[in-house]
Amino acid sequence: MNIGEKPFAMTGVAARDIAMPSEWRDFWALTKPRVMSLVVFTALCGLLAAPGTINPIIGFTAILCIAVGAGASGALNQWYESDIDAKMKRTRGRPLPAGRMGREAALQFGLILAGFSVGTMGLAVNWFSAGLLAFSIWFYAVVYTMWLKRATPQNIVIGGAAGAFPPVIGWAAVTGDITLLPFLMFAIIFLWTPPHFWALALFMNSDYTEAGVPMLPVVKGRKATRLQVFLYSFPMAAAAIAPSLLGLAGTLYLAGSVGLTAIFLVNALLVFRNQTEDTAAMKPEKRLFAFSILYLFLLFALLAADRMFFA
Amino acid sequence: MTDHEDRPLTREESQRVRAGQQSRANMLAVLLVALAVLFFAITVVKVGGWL
Repeated sequence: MNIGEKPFAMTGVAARDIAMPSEWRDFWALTKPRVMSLVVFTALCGLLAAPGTINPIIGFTAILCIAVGAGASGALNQWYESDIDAKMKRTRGRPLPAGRMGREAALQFGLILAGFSVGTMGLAVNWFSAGLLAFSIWFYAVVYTMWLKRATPQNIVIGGAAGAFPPVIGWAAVTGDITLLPFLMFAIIFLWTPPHFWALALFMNSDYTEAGVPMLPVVKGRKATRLQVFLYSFPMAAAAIAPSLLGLAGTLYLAGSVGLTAIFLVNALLVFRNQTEDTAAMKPEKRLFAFSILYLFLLFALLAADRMFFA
Repeated sequence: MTDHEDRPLTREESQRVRAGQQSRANMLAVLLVALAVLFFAITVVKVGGWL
């Protein structure tokens, strides 16, 4: 404390009058930075894969707006779900359930980020991509968080659409429209989401059960979930290879996507064959979850590289 | 966190409040400068027609 500065105790300010100010790190945590990294990367790949050019400063602004929009979605999600987060081991250290931040501050922060990201995107890039960004924030915060997540075991199937928008928005930032390839990029993430999240839900089952979230393993059991993980991997595989088969990507992407998708399918098969109920023995599920993140990163990197250097 | 007590803040609590405020103020200052630079650059690109 600086010299001459009075502590609140000496100025008659009571504890009830002061909301402990959250640190900037708490606001940062509210944006779900790890999720944001995947969003930024896929959006960048969509932007790089698009035909035509974009000024680097406008391109940077587009990616920044998509990242901030994802942060807004994360903040609004944590504002609404603080009751669920408090019941789950994985999330009870977050700023709201841990008591380091008030719900109102989280809501205001989320709304400000959403307004800033959409407004800046519209003014600096184009209003079509801004509209897509606004829709994706609304879809994640309202359709997924407020409605689907607590209502149906298909929550992440439909909700997965929210996470599939970033490459489409990145593409639209350059071209101002949507064609078949950004639609396929959307489809890849949309169909990748169920096996990715259900693999996690399989070994985090107790957390979701305690929180009362109707994830598929909680409602239908692990056997049914493992079957769904395996079945969803096939349309995902088809979407992943489709860009090359439709002539929208070249040999580099074809070779990479076939190899990576084969590994994904093998991992999904191992999950399907695993019958254990013991979380400690769920190595195939943990392996699939970890590989699925790497898979998406590599697939989109290959697609962008193929389009940039070989198209 | 909102403390619903009538007692005054202790020295440690008031120091935590001040530290939190200081940390947020510093980060806000950095963000505002970064935004000013970004909007300046966007304006130059738009006005210059370098799209």
